[in-house]
Amino acid sequence: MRKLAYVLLTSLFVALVGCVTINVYFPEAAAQKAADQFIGTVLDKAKPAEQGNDDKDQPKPTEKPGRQPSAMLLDLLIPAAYAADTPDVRIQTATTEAIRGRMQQRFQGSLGALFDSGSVGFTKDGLVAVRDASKLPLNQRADVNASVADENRDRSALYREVANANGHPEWEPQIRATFAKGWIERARSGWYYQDPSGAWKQK
Amino acid sequence: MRPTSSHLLFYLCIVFGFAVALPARADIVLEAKVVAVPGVRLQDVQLRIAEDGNGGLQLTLRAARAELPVLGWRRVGLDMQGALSRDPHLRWLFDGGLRLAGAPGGAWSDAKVNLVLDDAANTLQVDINQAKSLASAALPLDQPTHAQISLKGLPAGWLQGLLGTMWSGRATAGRLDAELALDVQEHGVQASGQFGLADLGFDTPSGTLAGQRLNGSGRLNVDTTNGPARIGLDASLRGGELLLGPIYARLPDHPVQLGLDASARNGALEFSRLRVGDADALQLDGSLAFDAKGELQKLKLDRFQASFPAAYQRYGQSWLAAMGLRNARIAGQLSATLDLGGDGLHAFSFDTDGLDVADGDGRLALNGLRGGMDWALRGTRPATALSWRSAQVYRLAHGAAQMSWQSREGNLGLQKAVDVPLLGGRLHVADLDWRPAAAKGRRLSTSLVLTGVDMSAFSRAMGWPEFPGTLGGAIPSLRWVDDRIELEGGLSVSLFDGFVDVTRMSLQDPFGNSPVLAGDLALRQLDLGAMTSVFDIGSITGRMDGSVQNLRLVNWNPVSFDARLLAGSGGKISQRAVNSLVSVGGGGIAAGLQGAMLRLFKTFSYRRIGLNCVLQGTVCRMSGLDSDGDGYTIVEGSGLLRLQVVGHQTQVDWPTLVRRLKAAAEGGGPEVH
Repeated sequence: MRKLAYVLLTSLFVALVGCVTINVYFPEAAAQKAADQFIGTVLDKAKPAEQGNDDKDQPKPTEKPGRQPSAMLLDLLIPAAYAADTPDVRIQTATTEAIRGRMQQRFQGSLGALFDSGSVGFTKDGLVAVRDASKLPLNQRADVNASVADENRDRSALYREVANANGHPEWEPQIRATFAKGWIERARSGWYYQDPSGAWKQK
Repeated sequence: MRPTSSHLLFYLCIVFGFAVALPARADIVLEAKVVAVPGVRLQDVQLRIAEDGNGGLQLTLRAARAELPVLGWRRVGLDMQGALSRDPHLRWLFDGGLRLAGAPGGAWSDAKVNLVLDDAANTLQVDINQAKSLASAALPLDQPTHAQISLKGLPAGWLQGLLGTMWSGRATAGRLDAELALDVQEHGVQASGQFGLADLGFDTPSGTLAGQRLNGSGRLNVDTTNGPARIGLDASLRGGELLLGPIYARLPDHPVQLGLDASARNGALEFSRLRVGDADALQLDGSLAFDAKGELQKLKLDRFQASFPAAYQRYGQSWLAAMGLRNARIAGQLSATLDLGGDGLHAFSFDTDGLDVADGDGRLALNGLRGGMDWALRGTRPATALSWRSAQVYRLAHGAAQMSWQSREGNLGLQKAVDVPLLGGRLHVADLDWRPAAAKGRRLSTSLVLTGVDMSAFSRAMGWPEFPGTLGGAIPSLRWVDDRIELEGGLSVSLFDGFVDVTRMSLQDPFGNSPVLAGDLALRQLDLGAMTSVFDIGSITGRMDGSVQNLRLVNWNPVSFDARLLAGSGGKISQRAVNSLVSVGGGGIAAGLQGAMLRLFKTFSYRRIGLNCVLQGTVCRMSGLDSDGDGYTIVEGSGLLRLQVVGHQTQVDWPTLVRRLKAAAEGGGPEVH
């Protein structure tokens, strides 16, 4: 009987150990902050990625006294990465910067005006959609379809790349959801967005 | 009051009213709460006939609410007054004004109306004109529901009510001429006849179906009596713009033939017959359906013949732009068929005797395309041949190729292997299966063999420094799954007297703005001497091995990888190479001990060089041959003058590093101070 108890206990222990998985939780607050910053620079026509300001906030690598000459050689070779310590969710890569550039251009171009007129709105899944094209001249409607399609291709790529840049491709849905919330929160008043049921609302 | 069965009551009322009024020569007032006949209902009606003081009669007819469901009129205020007289032929004439309030489109808000009632001829003739518009109707008295209608210059918006009974769309502008035979029945109308349009515009609530400045003429049949409204149209259009879902057409100045049979129900619109004939651009026969939201539900083209570039410029531009293909250059002829349902593609075929296609961004180009493809979801289709004179994918030029395709049970496959010349080598496509109907999942699978591709031509095409070598390899299986192309097997590049093996490759969204290329690289025995000579940064001798795992390029720029490079068999590194590395670091060698030491020697011996970099986001985590708390060794020297390079920064900003590497590679040899 005692033997059986041991066996049971041991197998339970083994089973427990086998069940241990390491969960990496999605850093929601950090993602939100990062998304917010990205969205801000797109919507508010700010300069892309105020990196200069960021650098000031980052601790500079401290100079170590008494280094060998060879060490200094390599220090010259490789610039230090100041952005490494913060934040938990990284959003600036060459890809996302390229996407940001195109998005900014689109918002300053046709898309911003389309949001102002209510023709286009933010969807609940982080994309944009044509809400009501009937106010637009006919020849513009065709262009709107193309702009919206371009914007959405960039948005999907952005969410994918942010997830990948953080080493967690599986975060894509959460990143998308975070961005979706961010776009709607930062929408200017008068702009349209979809509520969770998919109905259009005006901010 | 219930609607009576008599169709004539309304008219009889009027006629009877006249009859009563005449002998007395006094004011007659008839009032009724409701007067209703099928198709017409008047509320709070007042009919007054009075002497006008000049020996004539003054007739006034007012109704607080007139309702004509077939015309979509609800709560329309009616006010008609004028002189009533009788001519020598004993016809009753009425000449006066008509004011309608609240009619759709503001119709006849201030019109002149002329009525002729001819008892002997059994006709009632009505003419209403306002401004430049004229509407006349002639109807037999014993069958007032049949009318001959003639419209001239009638604002299209005035028919909004009629249109609204069939379709959620509305007319926005334009004028209409028509000669129609109209038959009003209990549940709708039947009309047929000729019509002409001038500057017509129409729109739908969602704005996805619309037209503007359309001119044309043709024949029209409308029937709203049984179930959904049916419209038959054969017209010739001249100029204007049309938006049909994703398709935006700018019609030419010469006539375009348009034939259609449409039916509308609850906002959904179905074209059971659609025929377009634009002589020098496009001819098609087919059918089409949109749902209530204006989304395409069905598209079937039994015949489609297009001449490019006219067809692209007039009809295809915005549709292809929405799919990401902008500023395409297309020339040639194409005939095709298509069967697209709400659940996806059912069949397609195309045939051309010469077509050139290129996208505006220079990502894809096909020249001298000839032949066709024929695919269907079910059954077996006859085999077809397809060839091109040359093709270009990004900057990679492919030579001529000839293929033979056949569709079996939804699978479009190559019947025999194909060889495509590519940069001095060959791309051999052994077999290929394409499932055009699969929107998701496995769409295409093939196996490829690449032999003898000239690496220097390849590097030139990619805009890289010229690497000598050849590229070859086998991809036993290439699969297109969802939006990603996965390559099993691998490519092997013979490069710098060694090999670079590329495995686990995948490519996502290859022709989009953010194409993603992923894979693993293994480097074997690369000659560092040959390698450094290409980059002109000084020389390092020896052999290098290494790997680049989990390489991910987005838009052909690396965003993440795990690179390990090792030159483990020893060799020499020139002073210039060391210097170059330093200048890459953003500066020259400062004065002092290290500068003086380095300038004394032309070359240094090394035992090992090792550098690892794990790129994630914009940060490269560096490491070397070995590491302690203080740093990591990159170059382990040998001999008397032992050069030891130790790195201390483990986190490196990748964009800055790349910028400096580029500047060093392009800027020629660095200067040594």
